[in-house]
Amino acid sequence: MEIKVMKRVLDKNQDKAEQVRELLTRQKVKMYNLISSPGAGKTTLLEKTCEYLKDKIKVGIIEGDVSTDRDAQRLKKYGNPIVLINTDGGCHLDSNSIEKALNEFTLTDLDMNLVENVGNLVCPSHFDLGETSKIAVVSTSEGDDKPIKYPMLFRDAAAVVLNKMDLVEHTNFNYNLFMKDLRTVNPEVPLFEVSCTNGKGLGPWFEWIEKRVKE
Amino acid sequence: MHETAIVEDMFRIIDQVAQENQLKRIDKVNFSIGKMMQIVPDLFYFAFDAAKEDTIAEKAEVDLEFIPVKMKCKICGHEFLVEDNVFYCPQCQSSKLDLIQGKELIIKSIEGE
Repeated sequence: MEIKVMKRVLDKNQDKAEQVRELLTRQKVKMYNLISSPGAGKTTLLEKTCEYLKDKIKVGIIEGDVSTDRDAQRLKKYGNPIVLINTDGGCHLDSNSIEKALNEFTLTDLDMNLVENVGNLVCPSHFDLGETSKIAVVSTSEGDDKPIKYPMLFRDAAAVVLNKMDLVEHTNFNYNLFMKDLRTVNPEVPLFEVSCTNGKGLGPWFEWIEKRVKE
Repeated sequence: MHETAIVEDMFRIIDQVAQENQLKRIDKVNFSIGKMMQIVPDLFYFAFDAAKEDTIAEKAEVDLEFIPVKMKCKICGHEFLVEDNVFYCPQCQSSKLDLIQGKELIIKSIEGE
């Protein structure tokens, strides 16, 4: 016999994400979910961002890592409260682990939470964490085809950070093609072209993220 | 490999339906996937086959139906299917769009005895 089911898979993650979103709205804390491939520069971007935002706004960090605490160690020196989530091989964070992590913070002391998702462009895009917005981070050394290959992330992202602009001349990254694809997928998303190594271009990104708290 | 997480959650629902309907054997699961979810069929079948071992669904097959991505233009109201990841309204060229179809992950039905 055939039994009609019509049930959504992953609805538990979605329901929990909505609860997280309500909690954050109530506590007036913004949460940004940084998604990129491994090695695009999420941790370095967070380091620079924490350094800049120090004494300006109160930022908590949720660090998603497959197994080590190395990224969390790198971020410690900026004095932000950090909660590490080890996924034990899992390729993405989910809303359940975020809810647990949020319980570790004193939310009334925070303006913003920055989440470093596990390095991966596909899976993290499918799991709503209850964030205010997603931020896509991509680097010139990965090639220019990421927006068209991973349209879901680039469509959902509230901002795109293109890192390693200092290396662009040593790669075969085709800037015009990247822009064409990005604008095909998401015509209006703000793009920040930066080098986290030499700091070039980070100013507009800092201003953008700082302003989000006041929205 | 979000296919694994999806399959895991599918089996939570399959078990529940099997219990409610006192099924002893599951033959087929009919599943709808929105194209925006970027499921790789081979990885999905692999994950499903791994998950079904030693369960009442061990001989079950899974039928995948892919649902195209559909947008509605916020400016002119035109509804259209997205092809080749071009996210512009073909009628008024606006990029202000709402996704109305394409992110589904739905178990439609389960066949068994």
